[in-house]
Amino acid sequence: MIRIALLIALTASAQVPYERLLKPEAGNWLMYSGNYSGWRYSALDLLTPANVRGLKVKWMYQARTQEKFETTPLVADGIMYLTRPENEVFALDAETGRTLWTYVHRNPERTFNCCGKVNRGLAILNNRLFMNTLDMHLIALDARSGRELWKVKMHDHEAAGGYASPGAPLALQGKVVVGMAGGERGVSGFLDGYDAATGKRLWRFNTIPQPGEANFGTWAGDSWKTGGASTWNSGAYDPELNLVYWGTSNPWPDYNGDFRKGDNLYSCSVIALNADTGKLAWYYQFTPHDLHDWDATQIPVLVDGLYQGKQRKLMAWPNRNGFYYLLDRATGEFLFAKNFVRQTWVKSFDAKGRPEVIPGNEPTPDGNTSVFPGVDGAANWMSHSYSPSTKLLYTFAREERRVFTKDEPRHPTTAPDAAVGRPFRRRPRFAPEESWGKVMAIDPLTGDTKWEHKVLSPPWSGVMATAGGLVFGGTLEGVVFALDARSGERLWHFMGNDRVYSSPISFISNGKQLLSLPVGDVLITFGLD
Amino acid sequence: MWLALVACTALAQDAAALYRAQCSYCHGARGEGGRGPDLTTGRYKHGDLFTTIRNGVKGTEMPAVRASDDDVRRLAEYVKSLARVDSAAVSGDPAFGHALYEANCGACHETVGPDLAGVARRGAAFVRESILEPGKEIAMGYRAIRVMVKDGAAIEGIRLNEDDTSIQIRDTRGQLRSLLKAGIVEIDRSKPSLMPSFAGRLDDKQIDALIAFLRELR
Ligand code: HEC
Ligand code: HEC
Repeated sequence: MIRIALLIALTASAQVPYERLLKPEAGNWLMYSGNYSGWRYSALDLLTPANVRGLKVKWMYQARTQEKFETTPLVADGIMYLTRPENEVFALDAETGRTLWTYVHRNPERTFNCCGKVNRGLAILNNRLFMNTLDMHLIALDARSGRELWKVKMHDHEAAGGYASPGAPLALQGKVVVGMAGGERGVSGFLDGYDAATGKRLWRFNTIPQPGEANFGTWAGDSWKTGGASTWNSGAYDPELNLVYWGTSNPWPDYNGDFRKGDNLYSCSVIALNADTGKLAWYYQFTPHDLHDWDATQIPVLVDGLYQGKQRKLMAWPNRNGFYYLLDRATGEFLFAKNFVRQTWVKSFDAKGRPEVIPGNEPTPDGNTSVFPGVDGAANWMSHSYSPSTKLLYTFAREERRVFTKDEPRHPTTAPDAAVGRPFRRRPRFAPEESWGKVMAIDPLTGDTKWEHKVLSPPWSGVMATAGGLVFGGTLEGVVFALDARSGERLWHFMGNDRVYSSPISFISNGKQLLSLPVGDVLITFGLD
Repeated sequence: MWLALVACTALAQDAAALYRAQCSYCHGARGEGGRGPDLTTGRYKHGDLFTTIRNGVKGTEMPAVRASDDDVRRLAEYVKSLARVDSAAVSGDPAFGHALYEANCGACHETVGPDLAGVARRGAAFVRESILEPGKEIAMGYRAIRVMVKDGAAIEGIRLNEDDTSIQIRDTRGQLRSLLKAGIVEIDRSKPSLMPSFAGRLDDKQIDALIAFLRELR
């Protein structure tokens, strides 16, 4: 009785104004990464190395989907909001998992996602939830009822080879920043800012400079028109600098750079944009003229610290290309890069952070088997985590042996669909033991590894550190684990027995710290008795 | 009879239509491959077709199909039917082959080795290679493993499943074993196949006879 009353009362006043997003309370999970700095860190300390062995399943949410379940739920004042594939929104009672309302957006039969009809989550601001869709809509819902408030089309989803929008949006003061996908389909990338109240587009930043814009001319011929450079994951924000940080994808075509000679700006880069105008403050390109599909679409991690005797605003970035980077996030200055997995492609970096590339790492028609990291990279879209209590950056890295094959891609706008086929060549097979995963604790200021925890397969899960001194994550085989944040020792595990393709969150319900993570198509929520 | 045939053909057509709509743009109209691999070899590295098509292949472009389980079963049959049957003439004597099989292969293939029914449609060259160089290409789900447990015992067999906490094995006597990694001292994966090479033990004529026999095991 008391609980019912409480829920209704909270629902009626569930206001998440911008001020709350600036300083998210430990008991809620108000945005994709937990805070604007991209930390995916829970300030809760009720779960500790001493009691975590008692964690048990508290409830499950059955998504009943064959798609990869990649969502990060939000939790605000006792209510969990999550998406399930393709673009459905559920509000659940965070204590029991019981559904409160649902909203369904139906996509057309054919959508142009590269890697499954997935969605990674929502943004919340005031009483509104925001979701972007595979057919390129941005939708605002009333968080209390699930009622649609507005729906705008961001771009023709069928243009070029096809656009989609699977990442989680980022809500700022009065606006929502949204990215798009299509780097495998010859699109032209952008990042958009929308008015949260009306859905009106406030700005669009072209991730490939157009004629007349700064840095135009780093793509041979007309290749800039179909160069990809999408923005398919989520970003971070520094309110003091008023800068939005977002990573960009590979240039198109992925494995064949013949007709796109040049650096291909701003593919495989981080861009820093003024949140009000969408104007570029700075960029840094991790992988100039990428040939390996090494998207830089990881979540940026913003940390402050003493670097070479000076207190600085920094950005820590374990990248898909195998290197950990430290940048100055006010200026974009490159500070250093250091590999965190086996790598074969960089000899050294110059002072500006441009890699000197070792020849022989290019994809070949028969398949180059000697390139590290692999196609899916050392890091991908899964979240890294930063703990202000240990001052360590945690990343779930992939050590992977794969093949890079140079193909003859069809042109997305001029070649008909029937010509999609790539000539298939037998791919060499590698023993499973040649690839593995590892949770790493890295000192962000030096790039030094403090510990590693090895797992069987390269992961598709992110990690979350907590103030209680734990690091949570899940493996491809479905082992959900808690590691000691100081030593990497595994303290607790649960056999979920299906793939984990998401990153954990933590929140408070009824005074207890809970933990949620999708395993297979089930969102499992754990807690102590 | 006639009705049943019509029903069958209708189902086959359904599967063909599903394949055309959902698969051909990656695997080619006749399964010849493109963005996805060639499906006409009759060799499937992921083993069970139903599971592969139902769930997709993690971390690759191969999606989970959006269809009912019945449709997925039909798709699996359809994919099998895309396999080219190796029609090259074989010279061996199947009866002699049968005897060789009983003497050299049957005991193991009926406990830990894969079912060899239909294996010959992958071609004589493949079977010959399997007999002479077993470790070269491992049938999916048949990787050999040797595990030392804490009390000093060694368990050898096929790795059926594994995660970071446990490993499941069919041992060489065909017994199913599940071992917690906490109790394991060492895992040896250096010998990928349990099958011994028959190079130097069987001559060409004997191998031809075995192939002829295996062709009859459809
Ligand atoms: C977007 C492209 C794409 C589509 C659509 C697609 N596949 Fe695949 N498929 C792949 C790729 C890529 C692989 C290889 C995965 C790997 O690396 O193991 C694959 C693998 C497979 C395999 C495994 C072959 C083996 O050796 O085990 C089968 C079977 C298969 N696909 C059947 C299908 C069927 C049936 C459909 C339609 C329902 C389909 N695929 C649709 C891309 C696709
Ligand atoms: C001691 C056990 C053992 C014996 C004896 C043995 N095999 Fe095998 N065989 C296996 C195992 C295990 C595999 C699967 C691993 C691999 O592909 O090497 C296999 C695989 C094969 C394959 C490939 C099957 C596939 O699906 O890829 C063929 C063909 C084969 N064996 C034929 C034979 C023949 C013919 C003989 C007798 C001359 C024989 N084997 C004797 C254990 C055995």
